[in-house]
Amino acid sequence: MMGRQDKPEPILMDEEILKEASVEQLSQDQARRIAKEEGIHFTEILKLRLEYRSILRIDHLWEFTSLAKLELNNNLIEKIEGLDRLVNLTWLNLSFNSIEKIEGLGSLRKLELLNLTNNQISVIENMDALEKLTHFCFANNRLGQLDNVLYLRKFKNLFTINLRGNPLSKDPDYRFFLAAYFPNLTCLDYRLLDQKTKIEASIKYHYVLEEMRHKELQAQQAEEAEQGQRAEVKLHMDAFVEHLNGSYLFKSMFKDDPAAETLHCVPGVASLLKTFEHQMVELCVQLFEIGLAEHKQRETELSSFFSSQTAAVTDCQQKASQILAKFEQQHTERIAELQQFSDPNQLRVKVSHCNDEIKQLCNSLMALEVQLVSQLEDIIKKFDINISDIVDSFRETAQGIFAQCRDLEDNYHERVQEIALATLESVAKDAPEEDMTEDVKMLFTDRNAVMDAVAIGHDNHLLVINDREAQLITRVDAWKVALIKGIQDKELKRNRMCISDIHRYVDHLREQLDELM
Amino acid sequence: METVRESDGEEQFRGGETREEEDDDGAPHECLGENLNLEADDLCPESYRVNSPDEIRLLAIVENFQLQYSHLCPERKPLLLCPVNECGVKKFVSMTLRPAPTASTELFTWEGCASFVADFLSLDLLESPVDVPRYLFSSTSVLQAQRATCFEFATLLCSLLLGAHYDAYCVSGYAVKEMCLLDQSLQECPLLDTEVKTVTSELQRQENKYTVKPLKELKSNFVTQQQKKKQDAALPQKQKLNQESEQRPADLLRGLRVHCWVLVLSGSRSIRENFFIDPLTGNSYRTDDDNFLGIESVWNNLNYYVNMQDCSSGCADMVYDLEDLKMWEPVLFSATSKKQLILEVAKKRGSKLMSRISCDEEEEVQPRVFKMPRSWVSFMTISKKDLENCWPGGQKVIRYRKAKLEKFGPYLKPDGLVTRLTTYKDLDCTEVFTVKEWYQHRNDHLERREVNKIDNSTTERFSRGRRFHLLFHRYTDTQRETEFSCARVDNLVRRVESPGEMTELFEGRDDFLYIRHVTFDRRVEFSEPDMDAGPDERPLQKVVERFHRNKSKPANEDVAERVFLLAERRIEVTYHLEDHRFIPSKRSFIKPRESTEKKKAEDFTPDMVSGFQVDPSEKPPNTLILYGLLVNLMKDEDTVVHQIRGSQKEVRDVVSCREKEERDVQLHFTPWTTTGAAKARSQRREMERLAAEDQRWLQEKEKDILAPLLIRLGNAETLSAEDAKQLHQDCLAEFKQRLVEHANLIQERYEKETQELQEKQQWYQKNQLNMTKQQEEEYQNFCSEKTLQIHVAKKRLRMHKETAPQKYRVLDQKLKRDPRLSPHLLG
Repeated sequence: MMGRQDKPEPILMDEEILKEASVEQLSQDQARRIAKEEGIHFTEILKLRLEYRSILRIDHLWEFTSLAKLELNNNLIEKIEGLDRLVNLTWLNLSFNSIEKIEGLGSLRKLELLNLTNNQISVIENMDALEKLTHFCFANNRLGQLDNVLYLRKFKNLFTINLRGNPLSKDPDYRFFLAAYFPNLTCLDYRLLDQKTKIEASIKYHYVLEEMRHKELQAQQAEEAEQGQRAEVKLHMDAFVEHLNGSYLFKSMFKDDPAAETLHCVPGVASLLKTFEHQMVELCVQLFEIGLAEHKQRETELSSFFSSQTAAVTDCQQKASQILAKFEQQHTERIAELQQFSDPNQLRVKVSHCNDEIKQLCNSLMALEVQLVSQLEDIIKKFDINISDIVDSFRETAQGIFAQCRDLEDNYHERVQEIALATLESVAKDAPEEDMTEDVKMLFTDRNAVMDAVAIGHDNHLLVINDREAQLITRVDAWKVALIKGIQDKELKRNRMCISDIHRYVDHLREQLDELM
Repeated sequence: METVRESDGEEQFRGGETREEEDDDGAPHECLGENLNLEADDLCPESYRVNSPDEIRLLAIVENFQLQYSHLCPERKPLLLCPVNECGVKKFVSMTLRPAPTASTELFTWEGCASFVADFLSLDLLESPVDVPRYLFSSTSVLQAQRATCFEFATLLCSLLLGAHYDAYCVSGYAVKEMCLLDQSLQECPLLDTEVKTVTSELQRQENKYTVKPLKELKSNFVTQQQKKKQDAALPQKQKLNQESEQRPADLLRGLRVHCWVLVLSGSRSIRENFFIDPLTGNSYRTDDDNFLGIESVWNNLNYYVNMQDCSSGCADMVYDLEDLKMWEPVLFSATSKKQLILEVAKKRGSKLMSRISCDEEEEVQPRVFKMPRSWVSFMTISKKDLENCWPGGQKVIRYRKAKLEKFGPYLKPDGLVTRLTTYKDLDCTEVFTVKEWYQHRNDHLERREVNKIDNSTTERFSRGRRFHLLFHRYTDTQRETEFSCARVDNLVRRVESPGEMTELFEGRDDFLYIRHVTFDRRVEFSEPDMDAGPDERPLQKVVERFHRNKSKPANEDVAERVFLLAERRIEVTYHLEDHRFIPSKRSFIKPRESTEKKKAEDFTPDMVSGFQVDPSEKPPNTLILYGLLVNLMKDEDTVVHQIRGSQKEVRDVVSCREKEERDVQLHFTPWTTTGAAKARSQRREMERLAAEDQRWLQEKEKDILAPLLIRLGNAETLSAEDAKQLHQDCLAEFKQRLVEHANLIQERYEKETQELQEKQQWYQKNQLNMTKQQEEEYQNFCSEKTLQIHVAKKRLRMHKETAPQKYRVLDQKLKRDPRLSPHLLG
């Protein structure tokens, strides 16, 4: 701060400066030489020091995508900006600048240390993204509100806070306040927080803390409950039987059907509806449980398949490694031998021998791979058959249950029709029962309308059931197809990769050999 | 008096006979017998010397029984019924059994009792191997003498078992020669079995229906058949050889040799099946074991049963229902048996419940029968010390087949040896194969040492908590293998060192290293035997390190193996395999030359790195990154070399430490064993004595300040008040005088030095102009020396002035506290 007047003009951060800084910070002469000769890639630089440079604006940093440590202290920066692409940053030092507001840190999710000492910031804010923050240095700023510090409570890993030299630190309770509200804190204002202070603080703020803890606990429980629920729904979705463990399907059958409601007021229909609902729900629950059981069975099938697949691949890998290790040992010996020969004829013979050996290696590796492919093909075929069986049986069961649902609906429809006819007759005879409401009477004056309403209701109900059935079945089938295809694709990719690896390796060996010639 | 006393002549006869035995062990027993006989009247309780009226009646009954028995079964051998005890009095064998309950937990089970009896006593052979003995000493004297015949063995064991509530019986019968003579040289040593036994934990693999079909192994049937034929041809020859060498001459007295052992019947103490215990070895046998050839009689403390079953073909078909009169003939007819007692107890328990319901008591009116009187043997005590030093004389030797087992009591041997097992290559036990030794209470934590004479290796095992965390140490002339406990900071678990090579295995390291293999340069070793450099400085040729997969890194950045080829200035790195790939990425670096005085350091160029990158889609790293990798590797290389040197040093340290420890073996004494406690106590006493002596010496050394003054007063024993005051005054005055003198002395010295310096300075002032350089230098030296001396003197004077009053006060206090002066001064 003292020498600020002496400093030269504020400079702009541009590529030139950055390049210079990145080359300069290399510790070894060799490295510097290489950097100068080959140029330096900003994307690979892990740390950058730009302190004491009178920088006015943070700029040109977008290429430093793997940067982990950035030192920008003792500059003239007024605004935090241009850091959006430094997603790997863990250490950011912006001390001794002229910053007035915390901002522009939204993408620094890996940040662990944030140093904002000696700035002019008066509010702690806009730091929600810094989930991994452990050190927060904020000395000599303009923080006045003690409550504002509570913002930092959301960082679970935070254990060092430095707030010295802020107006709020003059508060006599300041130390206890922080000790109480940050139970994980070990360092405060350059000092170790001792156990005594912590105990005193927890006594002092006992009630507030209790209340807060209670609230936090509740929030946590609520979140856990929600998560549990979400997981359950996910499980049901995976089992293709979501919303079947209750009357959801039944209710959706009678949704958006105004005529039905009036019909229900007809005596006899209500009780009929009740038994119908009961039976429907029973069937749905049955299907739901079957669905879960089937899901479990599929899962075990899957896991056993994957485990044996990995076992086969690892086994093959081991064999290949053995072959390779053996070959390499011999190969190095041969190469060493080769280097001693001077006679071109002899050399040629030896080289051809080497080439043969390489071919041999290629062949044995290929044989191994072919063997593995055929083995895996077998088990994939077997798995396909088994999983298809499982899916088919599930589908059939589901279809059976849905057929029962349809029967129930038919049955219900017939009974409703009967009742409707009877009521129509009684209305026509003008001897209606006492407890009929007016609009029902109105409805039953028109015979066609009644029969239409009943028929439409029936059609709608069947439609809902059929929809649900079709949804279940198509999804199951799609899942199966995607699964098998995924496995096959992956296997194919693996096979291609392996073969290309072998060829590339063999080529590499041959190249090496040629170089010797 | 119907007490039957054996004549002294007969006693002598017995002694004579034992002396005639070939076995050397007979001699002490005979002496003991005489001793006992001489002092019998003084030492033994009355019940040993005299028969009570009940006993006399019993003896009469028994005699009657014996007469009838010999009349009815004239072809059978006489029974052991009333042998003579150590006081020369006839006693019925059942009464020699006295149930002996003990407090020791070790003797609560039959296994404990059996091994105690087998260990504690040494065997005296019977006078005649085919006749029952005429003597049966009480268990108390047997315990004292620690020598016994097999009958006394069985009696003691049976007493202990009855005390522990087992349904146990002594069995008099016939057994094979090896058992009678305690000859175990045909058996395998039981300790050897535990060694061979390996934990066969088969990994239970879950049957997975998708397991890939294993490949068919192609092999020729013909070849296997040929091999089998060869093996078959070789096998019988070997067997023949073995058999021939192991065959022994048949025993002429087979089936006639008398032996006594213990039978434990099922029913009590949750014993499910009847079994025998051989008291000489403490081993248990099934009742149909073919070592036992026949039974004459069995007895416990309640009754005596004679076997009426045919056992010409061994004991396999015997039935042990002692109530059955057809099979077992009791001496005391309708006396209570153990079985009845057990039933009665159960009944009582039941009747207690019953009695509450039905009040009328129906006491069975039993016919009055003769009940076995109380045993004449007095209460026997087995001390904790006996249990610990269980072997007679603290040690025991057992010979097994091709093996010899020696056992020693704790603290008997100065090096803590408790067991030594020597195995031999041949049956005659001439060529030693291995020596295994077990130790206890050693300060260097050595627990077991095994010396193999064949490959000349020594294996030592330690308990946890010793220096270097050493657990296992095995060495031959060339190879050295050590294992460590997991407490080490560097997580080293095993190190194998052989000439020119060293392998270290690690477990659970943070850097995932699990093996490091070092190859030393051999050529140097042979070409120039430069011993000055030491084995440590042998250049390394190659270091191979392997790492486990670190899941937090991508596979092609996670090093699986690094090879430092120090001799070739190369470093090779192999990375871990990526998922489903066969071929790992590799890199090989050539180290650029360092700068020397003549040349500049060699530049690092991209062609110093070669390698194979398995993933073609990935961009190869640029030179700067490669250089960074190389720099790190070179740093690692240095640390690795440093660690290897450390390891080599540690190897030597371990060796020297072991040598030192072996030279001076120390035992620690645990207070939980009686011997240990005694030794510990004596050790502590010795230390206390030394400490006390030191104290006394120190006290004497402290001078009596009053001594010279007292002499002046004529060394009066007691001082009058006046004298005391005078003495006090004098003493202080003298001390003051001395302090003043001391101060004067320092002052004088100071003045003298100052004067000298001044003179010299004056002299210098005068002659300053015509002085050589040397003289001037001398003068300078002189001056500085003098100033130093003056300074020191001044300082001493000041210090003296400061401390003098203090010293004076201290003396005053001391005098006032002096026991001779204090009473007078205070008043």
